[in-house]
Amino acid sequence: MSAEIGVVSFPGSNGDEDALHALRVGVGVPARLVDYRETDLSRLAAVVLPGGFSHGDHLRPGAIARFAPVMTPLRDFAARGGPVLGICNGFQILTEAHLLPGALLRNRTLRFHCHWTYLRVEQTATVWTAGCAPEQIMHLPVAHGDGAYYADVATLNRLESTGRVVARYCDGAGRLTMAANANGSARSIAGLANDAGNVVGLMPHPERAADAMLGGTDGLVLLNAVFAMLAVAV
Amino acid sequence: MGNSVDDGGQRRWVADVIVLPKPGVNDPEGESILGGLRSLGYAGVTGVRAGRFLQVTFVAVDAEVAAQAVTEMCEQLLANPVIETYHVEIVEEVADAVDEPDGVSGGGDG
Repeated sequence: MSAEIGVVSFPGSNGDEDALHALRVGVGVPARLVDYRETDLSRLAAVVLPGGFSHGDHLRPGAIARFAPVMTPLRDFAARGGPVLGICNGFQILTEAHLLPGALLRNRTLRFHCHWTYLRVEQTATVWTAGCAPEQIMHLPVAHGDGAYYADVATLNRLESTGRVVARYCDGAGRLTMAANANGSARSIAGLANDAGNVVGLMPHPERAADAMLGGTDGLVLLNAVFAMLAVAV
Repeated sequence: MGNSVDDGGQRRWVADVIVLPKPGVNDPEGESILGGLRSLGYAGVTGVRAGRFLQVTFVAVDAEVAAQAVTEMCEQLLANPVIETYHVEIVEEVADAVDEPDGVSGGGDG
């Protein structure tokens, strides 16, 4: 009955095993894969929607996954304050499901971006970034074709004024430059939270920066947040 | 929706759905195609928006129900109202060609 972290596997997810490994080995907590057809999330302390190409990215990334059976209990889980982290395709699914505002469009280059990037943490008052220092600079990889964050100006202004921008692309010194914002995201937005701060979407991959042997461990600063979630859930 | 097609009262419809990026939403694919047209010498081309064309075949009891159904499909799935607009045209399939989609699509090249 002990609580654990769930990582949802959709058909076409490819970051699910990475996230599971990062949680089990990098962080060192109990975690399991959750099939996209499951409907009971009650024993989970947190849910991760992983990266990949759910349902082949057909129509729009996340558009089909949004209607997966698991999304109904996930919506309830999020509404009750349950921590949800959407990584890359997971972020796209959260916007398609309207759990986060806006959308993720094709990269402005029209190319798939697969490289390391710097992020500046803009908001530490979320359950996922509580362990970060204000304006902490993190080094994480990205891997996406549709990462250009879009929302209309009124929505962007509201996100800014309510502190829901969680992270922005930056250079190594924390400066917001055009070059650092490679995919062309509005206001360099790389991550967002909902109003309550329990649902966070992030385009870069913290689970792929959770082992020094594989290039870095900055992702653990985010993933270590699950300790507090497990402590509450037990 | 999704029941057997020869239920009493059900008629067959084909909806042509065009989905385009909303005005103001960045469309790098359209811009890229615009650049291609200009390279070909079409200096008068001032804009290209790249979207998606979908053709949905379905049954409904009448035109009003059919239109309502397609609107719901667009709002829920076929388009993302946050970033896209959609335009729908619905025609009823003729009864003597129901088993041969190529024969009724009007412009399909099979």
